[in-house]
Amino acid sequence: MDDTDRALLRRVATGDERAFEELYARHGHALLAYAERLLGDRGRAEEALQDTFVAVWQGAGAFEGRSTVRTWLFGICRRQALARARDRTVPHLPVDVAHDLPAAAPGPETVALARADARAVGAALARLPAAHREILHLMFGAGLGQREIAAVLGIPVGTVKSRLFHARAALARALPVTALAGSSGEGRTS
Amino acid sequence: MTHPTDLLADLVAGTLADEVASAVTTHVAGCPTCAEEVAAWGRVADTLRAEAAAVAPPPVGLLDTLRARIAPVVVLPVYRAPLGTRAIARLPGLLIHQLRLAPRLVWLVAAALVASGVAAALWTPDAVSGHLLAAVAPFAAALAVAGACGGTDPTGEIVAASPTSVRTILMARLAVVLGIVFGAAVAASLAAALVIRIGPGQLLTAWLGPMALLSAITFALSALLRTGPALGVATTLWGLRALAGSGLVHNGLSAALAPLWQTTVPTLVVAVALVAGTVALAPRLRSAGPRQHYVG
Repeated sequence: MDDTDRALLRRVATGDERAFEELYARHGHALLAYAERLLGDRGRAEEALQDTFVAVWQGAGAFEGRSTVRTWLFGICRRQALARARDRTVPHLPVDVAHDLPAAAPGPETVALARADARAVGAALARLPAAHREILHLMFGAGLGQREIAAVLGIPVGTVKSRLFHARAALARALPVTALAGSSGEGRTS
Repeated sequence: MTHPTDLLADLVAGTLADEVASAVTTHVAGCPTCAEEVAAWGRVADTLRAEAAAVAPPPVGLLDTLRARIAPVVVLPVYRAPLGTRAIARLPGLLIHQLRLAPRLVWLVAAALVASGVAAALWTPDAVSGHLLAAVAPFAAALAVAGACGGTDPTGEIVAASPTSVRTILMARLAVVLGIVFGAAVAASLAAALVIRIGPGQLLTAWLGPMALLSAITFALSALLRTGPALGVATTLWGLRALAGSGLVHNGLSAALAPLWQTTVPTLVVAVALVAGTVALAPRLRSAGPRQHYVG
C-alpha cells in the first residue's frame, strides 16, 4: 500500500494532478474523519482537509520517506486541524497515569467493557477527553499502527501503548452505571 | 508464553505482521484472560470503526475547490536525485522540468518553423527556399529564447528562490528551448532537402551561424534586461540584415554587419562566449531583478 502511495507522491512532486487526485481518493475520507474527530465540526474539518491537500501539493517534494505516506498525511492533517481549532491546545493527560501499565488479570473494567452493549460504549466514548478519543480513533478508526501513531503525535511508541490502555480504562469508567452494574453482576455470578 | 497483553490492541486493529498475529491468536484461543482483553478491545474497536464509518465522505465539490486552489500553485521543481547518484543523474530530471515549464509559445514556434520549411520547399523556387529558411529559423530561435529566458513568467521568481543554482537552471532552460527550435530547423531543412536540389548541409549552414549568434545575443539581453528589450534588439538586428542590399540601409553598415550572419568559426565562438559570459554573471543578474521588485 505504501509503495503505491510513494509512487503517487513522487508524481505529485512533479506536478502531476492525476496522481494528486488519486492520493486524495485513497486518503481523503479517512483524513476528513480524523479532522472531524479533532474539530467536532464538519465545515472546519472540510477546510482542514482542503488545506492538508494544498500543503501536500506544495510540499510533496519535501517528503523524506522516514514514515509511511499515510502517516505523513495524518501528521499534516493534524497540524491543519489544530491550527483552526477554537481551543488550540490539545488537552494533555495527567502525568501520574502515564506509567500505570495494566495488570495481567483482566480487571472489572475490562470485563465490563467486554460485555457492554455498543450504544453504551458509544455514549461513553462521547464523554472521553479529546486526547483519548484521538488515540483510539487513530488506532481503530484510521487503522494506523502504534509506530505510525507515535509519528503522527510526535510521542514515543511506549507512550502510545500506555495512552491506549488509559483511554480504554477511561472508556470503561465512563460507561453508564447501569451497564457497569449489570455486567459486573454477571461477572460475579459466572 | 507470557500474556501478550501489549499486542492485543494491535491484533484487534489488524496492524500486526501476519506471523505475529497468528501466534497471538493461538495464545488467545487458549487463554481466557487474554480472550477477555480481546473482547474488550473489540468493543472499543467496533465503536470507533462505526464512528469513523458514520462520517460522510468528502463532498464532490471539495475536489473541485481543491483543483481550483492548486491550479495557480506552481509546484517547485526539486532536482534532488536519489542519494548516492552523481550530479549527471540529476540532469534528465532538470531538463524534463524545464521542458514542462517552457512556454507553449516555443512549441508553436517550432511547429511553425517546420511547416514553413516544408512550404518553402514546395512552393518557392529552389534558390529562394534556402534563403527563406535562413531568414526564418534564426529569428524563431531568438523569439523562443527571449520568451523562455527573460524571466517574466511567474515561475521565474520561484525558480530564482529554489536551491538549484540559477546558472544551472538558465543553462538547462536554454538547452531545452534551443534544442526544440534547433531540432525543428534541422527537420525542416531535411524535409526541404528531400524536395529541392540544395543539399541539407548547405541549408544547414545558411541558418546555423546566424541562429547561434542571434540566439546568444537575445539570451544575454534577456538575462540582462528581460524579454522586451531583448526582443527589440533581436528584431532590429534581424531587420537590418533583411533590408541589407535593399538600399534602405546604409551600405557601409550592411557590409559591416554581414560577416556576423555567416556560419563561420568566429561567429560560433562569439556566440558561445556570449552564452558563457551570461551564465557566469547569471546569479547577480537574476537576484537583482526580483529583489528590486519586492523592495518596491
